[in-house]
Amino acid sequence: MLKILLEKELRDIIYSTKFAITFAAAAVLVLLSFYVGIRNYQESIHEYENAKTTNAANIAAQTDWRQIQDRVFRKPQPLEILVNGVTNDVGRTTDMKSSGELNLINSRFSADPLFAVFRFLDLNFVFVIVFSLFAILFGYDAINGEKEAGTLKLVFSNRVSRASFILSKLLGSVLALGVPLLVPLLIGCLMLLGFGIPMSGLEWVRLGMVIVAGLLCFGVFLTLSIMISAMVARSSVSFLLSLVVWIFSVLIIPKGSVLLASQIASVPSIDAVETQKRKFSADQRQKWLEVTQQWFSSRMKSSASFSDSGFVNSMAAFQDSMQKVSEDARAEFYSRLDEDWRNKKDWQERWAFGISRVSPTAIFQIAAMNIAGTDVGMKFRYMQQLSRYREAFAETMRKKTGSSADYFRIVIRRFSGGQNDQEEKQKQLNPSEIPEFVEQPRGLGDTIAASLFDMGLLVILNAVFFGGAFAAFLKFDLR
Amino acid sequence: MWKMIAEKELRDHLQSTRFLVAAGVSMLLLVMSIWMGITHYKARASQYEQGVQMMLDLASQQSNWMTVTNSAWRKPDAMEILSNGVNSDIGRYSDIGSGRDVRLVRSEYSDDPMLAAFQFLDPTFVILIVLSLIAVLFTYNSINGEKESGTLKLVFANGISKAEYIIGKLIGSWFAILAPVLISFLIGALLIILMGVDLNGSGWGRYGFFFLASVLYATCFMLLGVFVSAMTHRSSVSFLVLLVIWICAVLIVPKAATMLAGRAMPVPTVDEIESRLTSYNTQARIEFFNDMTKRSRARFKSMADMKPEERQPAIAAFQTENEAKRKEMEQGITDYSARIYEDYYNQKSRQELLAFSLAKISPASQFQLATMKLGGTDVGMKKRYEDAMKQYKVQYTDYVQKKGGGGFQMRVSTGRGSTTGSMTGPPQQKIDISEMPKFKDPDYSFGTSVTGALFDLGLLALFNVFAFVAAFVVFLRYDMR
Amino acid sequence: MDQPNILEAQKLTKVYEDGLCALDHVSFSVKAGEIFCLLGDNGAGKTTTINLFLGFLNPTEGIPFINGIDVTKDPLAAKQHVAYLSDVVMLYPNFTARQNLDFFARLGGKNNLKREDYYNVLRQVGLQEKAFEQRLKGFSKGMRQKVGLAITIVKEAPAIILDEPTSGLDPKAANEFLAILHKLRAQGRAILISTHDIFRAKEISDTVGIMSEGKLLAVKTKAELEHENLEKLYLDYIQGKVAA
Repeated sequence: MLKILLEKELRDIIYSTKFAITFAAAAVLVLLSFYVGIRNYQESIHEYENAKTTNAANIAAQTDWRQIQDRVFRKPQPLEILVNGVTNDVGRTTDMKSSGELNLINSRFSADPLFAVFRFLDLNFVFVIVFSLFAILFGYDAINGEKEAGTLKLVFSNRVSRASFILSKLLGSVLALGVPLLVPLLIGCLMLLGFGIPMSGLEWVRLGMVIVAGLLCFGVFLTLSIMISAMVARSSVSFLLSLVVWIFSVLIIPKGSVLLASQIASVPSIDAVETQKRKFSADQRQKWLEVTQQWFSSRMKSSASFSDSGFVNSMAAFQDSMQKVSEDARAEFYSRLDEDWRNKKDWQERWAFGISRVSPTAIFQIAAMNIAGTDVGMKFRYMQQLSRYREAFAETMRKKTGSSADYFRIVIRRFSGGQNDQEEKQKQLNPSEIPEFVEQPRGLGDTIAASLFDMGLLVILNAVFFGGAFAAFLKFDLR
Repeated sequence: MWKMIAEKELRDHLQSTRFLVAAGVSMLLLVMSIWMGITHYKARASQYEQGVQMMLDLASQQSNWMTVTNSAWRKPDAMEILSNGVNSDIGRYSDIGSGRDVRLVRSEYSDDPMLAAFQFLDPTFVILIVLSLIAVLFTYNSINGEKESGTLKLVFANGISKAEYIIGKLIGSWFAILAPVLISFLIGALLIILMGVDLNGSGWGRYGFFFLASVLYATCFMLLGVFVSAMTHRSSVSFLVLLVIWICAVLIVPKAATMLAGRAMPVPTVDEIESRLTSYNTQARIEFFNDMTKRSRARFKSMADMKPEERQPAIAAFQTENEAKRKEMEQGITDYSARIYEDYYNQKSRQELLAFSLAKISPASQFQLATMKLGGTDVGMKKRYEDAMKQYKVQYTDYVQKKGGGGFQMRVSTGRGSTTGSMTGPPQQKIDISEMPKFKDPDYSFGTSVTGALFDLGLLALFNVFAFVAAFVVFLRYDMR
Repeated sequence: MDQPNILEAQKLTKVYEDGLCALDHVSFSVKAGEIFCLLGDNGAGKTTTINLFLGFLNPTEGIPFINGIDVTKDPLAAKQHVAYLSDVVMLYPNFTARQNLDFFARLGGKNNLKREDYYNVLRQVGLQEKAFEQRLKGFSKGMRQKVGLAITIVKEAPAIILDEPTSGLDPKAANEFLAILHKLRAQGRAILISTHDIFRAKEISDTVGIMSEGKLLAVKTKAELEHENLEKLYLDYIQGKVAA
């Protein structure tokens, strides 16, 4: 019996105009999002390579390691194109220096507000907006629509149990709608291959996880709307209800939760932190000026000329020692401030995401961003890696310049130095002597750990609404 | 006769569950989004006050202009309550000082990726998505639904012309959509007053225009709904068709248009521009130093025979000469930077023009662009602020230069420029910042915003006219059977 | 009368939760080869009776039997022996006539019918050949009704329940419909029809039950009716002029 009902359900959906139109729309959008993502990726990789090359050329044009201005660029990751997350809001460029605070600047959207106006069309967006709508469109009249058409009575004038009917309805809808959606997704994956997007095995696994999460989210909406359809007698009412649920969970709850969280758990303005930092560094600078002034006046008495090599060497030593002291103090002070703020912020974020998890699409989004590594923690993780890299960078610079000072530096040119031009021709620098920064992607274990909770929630929601639809139909008034 | 139809239509809507639910939801959301906007604005305003105050406090504690880090802050504008636009994407302030490029940093979204993850819920968004969906929901079966229920034939069994009928129908539906929008805008206005947002006449004028834009936009989708409903005979089909149109117009076309424009007219990235500047800068400095070295060598040679008392003026002359050369080099860098940025902005504005022209096929983009202009949060915002800040930078550096005369002159070299400061007097004496020039936000008046929005509003109106005519004509030829 | 009772109502009573008594001790039976017409106004309790027979509702009191099986005890087994046609016959608009028939036939336990078998049944109910493989979307009410009838026929159940089957049919279609009913009766089916159409009731039925406000007021056989004016009788009954 189940088989007959299931078969009918599959056919009923696949033969309908509704399916033809909506499936075509969804498929086109999936393919479009893949295509757009791929082109965007290629473009940003190109830009990234360009930026790196120019940076290297700029360094190579210098003759003095103390004069270089190194920049580190965030490399675009293939998964970012499918799940944008916050990637376009996080800066891409860092001015690398041995000491002082590192900053990420020139985020895509701040550098290019044009793209911020309408934002990008990524796979995540298609899952959240289009697939969920697609699910509701087929679920809202699954039960009460059959009642209105009189077929429910006809079916139940036969030896058909309610359980087998609702089961076939649920399974049939999931199969008839879910499986066709896999087709454009798979074609999209083939496109990734065809365009030669360099994806590691781990990235394929992560992409697979995003797709699974997306289908789970789709399943939640499908079972939810079928449940609503089994609870409400008229399909026009269940449609409205489903649509309201959709609007709230897709558009309202996620955005609202963030604002609500900032009311519940307030975090001091980041500017206060910034000001404290500035005050600290201004004090340091003041101190530096005073000490340097003293040093100079004491030296000027004893030494006749700035060009004296003894003077230059002792100045370098002096600067080095000052640098060391002040940099250590700064790093300690800053990290304490940052950590304190970070903790409060974490608390707020936990609130925000906790509240937003009322909505299945928010759960999916959080899961997808965590899997793709474009979640809110992205900036923090990147900065951590960057400060680790900075140690290697600083070490190189120390070796090259013989000094770690770069923040407060006085460069004295020796006008009267060498006696012939030959001596003045300094060697150009080789930028490849600076170690390269390579971002380490999150491991599989971390990815799974970060997304497990939300994936689990999606599975549970599927089960709950499946059970809910089942229970609701057992009590459904067939008349 | 059309009055009767309009009245019936309005009553039909008002008494339906559909209206109750849809109007309730849209009103709730609109009022909520305005409330959220106000809260957000007030938080930002106090953050701004705090930021500026802290910056000034810090400056006033300094005893030397050299150690002052001045910055220019974007002052939040109450209009961003209505349309957040790119407001949260572009930096909130820029450090100002000689040797520093004006660069807006610390955008709200980059400071707080949590906000970026789900973005803002501003009234523009609610109207863009929810109101249009509701307008479609109200009208997708306005013609073929009546046919399905048989009332169409009943009505036309009386002496009524098709033209009268469709006009009445449109007017009735229009009022049904207008009502919740009007009510929520009134409540919104009340909230703005009650929550103590200081909105001036220009602000209220822009609020009015925002309402107008919303009504025009909703009408657009209402007319489209009637049009499609009159094109098809089954309401289930017309709903599907409208849903596809809605998805395309609201979600796809705007995004696709900007991406297409990005592809068709590539513009170098900021990183690239900055790299070019750096390399020019480096080159110029190297040349300058090499030249200086050469000249100094010559000088020293020529000075070798001088008497000690002759040396002093010679060195001074050399320093003056050097200073002039340095000025020349720095001017060269500034000119180059101005040139390259001008070129960049020209390319950008061409790209934007293409993107927006393409996007404007969709009434949703017309609406969005109009409201961003009204809110002052359009793409031009970044450049407006940067220009104002560049002007301010000149003002400020002149002021500091004047202040910083005498004492021990020192040049602190950072990679991309140098800061001149001086150490005057005893370090204990704090500087006086009361006369320091203040940054003034770029002028964005009622006139500018409305003229900016007028074109898009006009387009929207034009779209309405087309949709109206289309709905009208199609209904005149509608098959009643 | 040696024919067995196929459909039997024993003191069927249905009181809804809100206290409304929809059915009040209704008893009747339909034998094999008999057409029984429940005649009554809207709200008289005809559809409630049918709902009880199909197990869509549980009776407050009394038992509906199909082929001797207590519907309240084993609704699924009972439903194997009944074919039903509902008052709203929209069917599945995306399916063709044959596909609709196929689905319901298999639900009714007919698993190995061929395409030709379905065509035969469809021909039997008088659907045009060209409509066999067309989707039901474009069908008129009469055409859908024919497909519905085909669905009830194909099940080959001993009992047939038809809810307002002739409403909306044109005279020709109604006539064809009657012919089919007679054929089914000849095959020995027990047929229960609900209708508010007095003339049709008199024309087709062997027995007429007059219902009003949940009560079965009278049961008249064809022979008894031959000399009476059914319309007058009906109006008298429901206005309470004749004691039940």
